[in-house]
Amino acid sequence: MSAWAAEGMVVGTERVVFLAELGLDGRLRPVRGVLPAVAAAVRAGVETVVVSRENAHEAALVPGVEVLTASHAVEVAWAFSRGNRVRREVGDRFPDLDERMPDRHVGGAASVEESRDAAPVPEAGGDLAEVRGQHEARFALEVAAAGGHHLLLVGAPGAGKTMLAERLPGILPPLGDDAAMEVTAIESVAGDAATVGRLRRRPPFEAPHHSASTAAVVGGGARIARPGAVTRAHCGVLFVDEAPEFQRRVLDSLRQPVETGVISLHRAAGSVTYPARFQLIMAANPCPCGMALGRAGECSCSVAQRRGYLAKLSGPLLDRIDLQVQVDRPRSASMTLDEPGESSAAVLDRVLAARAVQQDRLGRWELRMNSQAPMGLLTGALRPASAATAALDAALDRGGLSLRGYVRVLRLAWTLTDMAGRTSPEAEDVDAAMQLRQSTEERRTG
Amino acid sequence: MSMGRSRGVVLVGMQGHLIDVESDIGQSLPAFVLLGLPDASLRESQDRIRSAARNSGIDLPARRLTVNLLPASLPKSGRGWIWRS
Ligand SMILES: [Zn+2]
Repeated sequence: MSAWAAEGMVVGTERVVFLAELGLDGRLRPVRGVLPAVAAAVRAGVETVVVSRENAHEAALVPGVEVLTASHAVEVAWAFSRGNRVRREVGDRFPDLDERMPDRHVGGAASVEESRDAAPVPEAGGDLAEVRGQHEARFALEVAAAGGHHLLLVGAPGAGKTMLAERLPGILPPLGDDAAMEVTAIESVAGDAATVGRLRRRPPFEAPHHSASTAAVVGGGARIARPGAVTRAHCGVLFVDEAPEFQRRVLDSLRQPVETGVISLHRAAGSVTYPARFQLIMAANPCPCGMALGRAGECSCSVAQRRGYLAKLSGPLLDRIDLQVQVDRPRSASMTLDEPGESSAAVLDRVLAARAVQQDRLGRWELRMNSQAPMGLLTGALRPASAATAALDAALDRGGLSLRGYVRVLRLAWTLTDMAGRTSPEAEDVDAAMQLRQSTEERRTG
Repeated sequence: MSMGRSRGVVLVGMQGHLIDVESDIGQSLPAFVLLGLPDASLRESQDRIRSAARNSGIDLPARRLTVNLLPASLPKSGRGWIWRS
């Protein structure tokens, strides 16, 4: 376009941003990343962008910009040709450059109205009502959602760990405008489809397989560093199933995003940083054969194997996980006889209420959730009454609990308090938090 | 000698940076010069641009075409008008 402008063939292109791939035949093809590109252009004061027809909806997700679409470079040339003023019609959301060209046939492209009215694709993930029984695990999932806590599920194969994890996004607050824009922009750059058509409101869910490479999980690539699962899980859930089966290197690479909310990818040309703030759910069998919990008699592993298995997860990553629960395999009778569980919508209502209370309390420290509260705050300004923490203090004094473990119990206690509608943790909240967190730790060390 | 301008965007991570595309058609022998840290994939675009222009019926002249991508400090890669860094 700029070359044509040099020729004097077209005018008025110097303030217009062009975002499309130019084919050898002159066709304009969709490109990835239109949403963040248009957003950046608008922030820089650009008022008009030209995109391929396929990218029209995506570009129009950014407010405050005129989106012109074309399917061929010649349409753009005509629209900007000397002496041919492009009419800017009011109310015409996608002025189509092609329509202004005489004698040119438009073929193939679906009309804007057609695709705008298309029924929304149902979101995967399922409803919590489908999880029967499993009262403890359901409660733990709700606590994780309410306080934004990372969660470790330990249980035998078939206990329903995946089924539970997949239902976390459905009980998380829908994404606000800024987060929705961020998540949709990531989808535009790294998603399965070449273009996105609407803002994403449901928190994303990513579940990399345990054989996944570091590049697939955190991002990477030879020439361009493409975002990985941790970035696609931004503002949503990263589910690390069968965590001990992952390569150690991959688990270690999760440390940076869990601690800082971003991932830096280093390449020869320089480093690139992508957002990667997610809620982590790790799941693990209790031992290599999976039978050590509940059905210890069937476990065929040696004592050393059992000890070593979950030890792979210890260290900095486990330090960030506030909540560890055991998921028992449902007995077949309870599977069929239990009433359907409470629906995701009902649980979400309580989560939203608990989140609102947290925001009111934590807003002045620029925090939103109990899981973000640092040690200094929990043992300082937000320290519960000493009567409430008597048992916890005793455990710390006995050496039965590390200082980090102590702080994690306090975070959980606040979330339980908020869920119960109390204003500050009482002994029952702190004790229940100790139970939630220690149940699997004790079994593992015992 | 004449100069033309348009704009594109280069994405660094999720951050977009506005790029000015300056084209200059000189009087010397036919050539295509792309400046401003393009990588190999972007350098291929010279054929694409000439071919696309020809297929659009608005041929570029057989003269020296210099395209400069500014700011030059950002490395640029890709085939479209969105470049990745
Ligand atoms: Zn076993």
